[in-house]
Amino acid sequence: MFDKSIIIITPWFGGFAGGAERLARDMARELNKRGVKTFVFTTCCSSPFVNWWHNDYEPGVCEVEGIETRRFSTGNVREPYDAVINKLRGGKPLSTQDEHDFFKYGINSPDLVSALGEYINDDYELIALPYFHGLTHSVINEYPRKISLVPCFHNEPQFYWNATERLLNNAKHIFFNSPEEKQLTISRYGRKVGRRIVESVVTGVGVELAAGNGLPDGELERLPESYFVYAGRKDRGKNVHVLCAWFHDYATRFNHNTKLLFIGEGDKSLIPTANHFIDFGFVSESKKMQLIKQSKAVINLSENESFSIVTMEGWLCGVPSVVSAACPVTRNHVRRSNGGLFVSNKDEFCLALNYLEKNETLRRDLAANGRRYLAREFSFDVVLSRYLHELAAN
Amino acid sequence: MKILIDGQTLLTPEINRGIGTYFKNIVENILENDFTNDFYLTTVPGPHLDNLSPWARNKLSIVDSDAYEICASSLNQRDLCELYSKAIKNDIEKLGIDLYWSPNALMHNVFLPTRQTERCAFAATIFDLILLVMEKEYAKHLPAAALTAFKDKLKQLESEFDLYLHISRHTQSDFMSALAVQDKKHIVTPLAAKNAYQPYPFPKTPSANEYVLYAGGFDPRKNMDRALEAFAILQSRHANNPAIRSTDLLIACHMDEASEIRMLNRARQLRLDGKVRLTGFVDDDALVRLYQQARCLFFPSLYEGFGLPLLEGLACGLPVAAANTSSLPEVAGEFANYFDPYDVNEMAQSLYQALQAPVDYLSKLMRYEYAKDFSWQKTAQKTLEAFALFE
Repeated sequence: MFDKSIIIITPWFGGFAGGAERLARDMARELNKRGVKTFVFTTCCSSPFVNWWHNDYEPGVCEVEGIETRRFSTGNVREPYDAVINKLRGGKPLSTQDEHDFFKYGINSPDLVSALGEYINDDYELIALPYFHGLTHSVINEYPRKISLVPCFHNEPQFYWNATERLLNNAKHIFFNSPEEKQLTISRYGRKVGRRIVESVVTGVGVELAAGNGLPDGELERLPESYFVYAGRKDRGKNVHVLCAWFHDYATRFNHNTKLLFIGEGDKSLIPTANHFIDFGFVSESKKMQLIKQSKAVINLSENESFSIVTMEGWLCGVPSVVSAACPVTRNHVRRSNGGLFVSNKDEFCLALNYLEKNETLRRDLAANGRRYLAREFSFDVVLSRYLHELAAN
Repeated sequence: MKILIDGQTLLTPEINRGIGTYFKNIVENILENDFTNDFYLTTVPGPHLDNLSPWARNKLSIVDSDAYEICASSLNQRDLCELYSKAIKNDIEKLGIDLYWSPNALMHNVFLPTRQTERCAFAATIFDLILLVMEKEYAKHLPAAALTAFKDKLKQLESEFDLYLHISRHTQSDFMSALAVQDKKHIVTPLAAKNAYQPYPFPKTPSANEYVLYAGGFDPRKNMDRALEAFAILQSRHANNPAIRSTDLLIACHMDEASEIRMLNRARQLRLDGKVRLTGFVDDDALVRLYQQARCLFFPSLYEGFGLPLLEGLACGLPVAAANTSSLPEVAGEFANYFDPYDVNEMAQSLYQALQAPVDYLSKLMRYEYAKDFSWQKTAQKTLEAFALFE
């Protein structure tokens, strides 16, 4: 039986819910529920969208959604980071020193790094995430082979930097979110870092309906009769512009009355002005689930996902998913589960939407497959036991 | 040797129940542990074969005949059985089979072929003699023809078969007492819990209310009515104990609407409103989770051929309260609190003791280790040793 406490280290906690932060929050909450004492160590910065070198919160211990959280002052030297960003914007190549500055002077906390020293012992297991931010590099490199890593790798420039190799070498355990993320890492770092990557475990990410989100039919404003949903950040990186173009074609060619609902924050300018697009912006989790539940399917055409909880949310609410064939992670989720359709071009997209819109039985069967897949592979019991099994091993 | 396995079970609903669990596991493990014999399976092509792994399907030779599909109709007419028997005889002779094995001989919806050739030995797995042992009880619920058909099968087994694989010593004892089969070969090949049955890997469960798990059914021998009564006695006897008061009874089994309504009405009469949870049918993965998160297992069955839920519960590290009847003490050994399943007060007391039993890591580990001593691999090896007697 696992009898240690766990400290999760992440740059932002409480004021922002990106993929990694959500993963940290869910892991801490669910481990605590199961009797594994879990804390979060984070900075006093509230979100990636504000000044990283300013303390929005007081340093010290507080409780965030029932999780004991310890905040530390952020670093206060900004200039070297800005210099690297300027180089990147100018398309100039980066030196090893630039990579170092990017991480050291990005979101970081020397106080937090130093405080961890007293927790490097047999009573604690420490896990840092994600790889993209300086805090993770600082803690793992300061205490080589003592802190585990949940990298949340994406196929992006930073993944190929030398700093990533050093991070992988210094991590105690490496936990991947998907087989595709692990495969990407093996293909880039397998030879250099060696078998510890190959032997690393794919934990997946826990996905369940949160308590209280039992999908009551609450009061919603008048909804379109037939609609699909995109739930997530409105961002070119998520292929929202492609989704809009393809859906416009679908609505024009197949069904003028079908709408596409957007849920989530991001760049509103990506949504064209047309009456088949409706942008709800940020909504509560409960409302999001209700909106998804009444939709025909959840669509996510992003080609760069490390796990994609968004893809799963439709299954939890009883609707199938439509994903991009160009994204190995979402495509393989759909393949393994038989919980939706994957599309590689506009024509396939239109045909897939038309097929789903007309076939209620098919939608229900696909969603049921997806839900079974989640229960089997990504229930919190399953995912967290993979973590504990590995952490308990050595 | 050439061994012909009767594959009728694959086409019956029982493939998803205990008998199906036995069929799938014993076939898979026999194939994994044997390198010298050739195995043939009587069935027809179809999705039912997906119940076996691709590896097993590849290693088996499928003996396809139209006659092997008629069992799916669940008819037990004499002419259909005759047709089935002839098909078996033909394949035995055509393939040069040394041993025919019916892994489900007494199941009501499969044919037991009559022996029409002396070319090979006949073997059958015997699960239980419930319809004989509890004949009076079942006569109230089953058509007379079903009991007659069961007895006819017993007579046929007695006169035409050479080898009996019993799933418990108790089943063997019942079988040998009822039939003149003392001069035949008998081997006990016990069941086992799947590897997925393991203790919950976390110090505590996330659910708010603890529950006693009853993995039963509405078959009269499962003793559901007394189980409810005993649970009500437990609740009233320990009304001041918050831990008991907050413990529910979770009944995990398939049930039809009428049974569900009857059960909930009975629970209301016993003042167990909201304390009895019915899951309906749950798949294998969900069942494992229900076991893992239970506080203890309650198994008041009046008669079992084996009692696999006991092993599954112990493999998950659960304390167990079980009836002291039939094969149950043989299966759970010293790891259960036993009671007389006709005495509701004793049942309640035993359940209370199980709820007080330690559930620390070491206690769970001991129960797990005990359960793991039963394994499909060992059972497969014993089965193969029994087949080798006819080489």
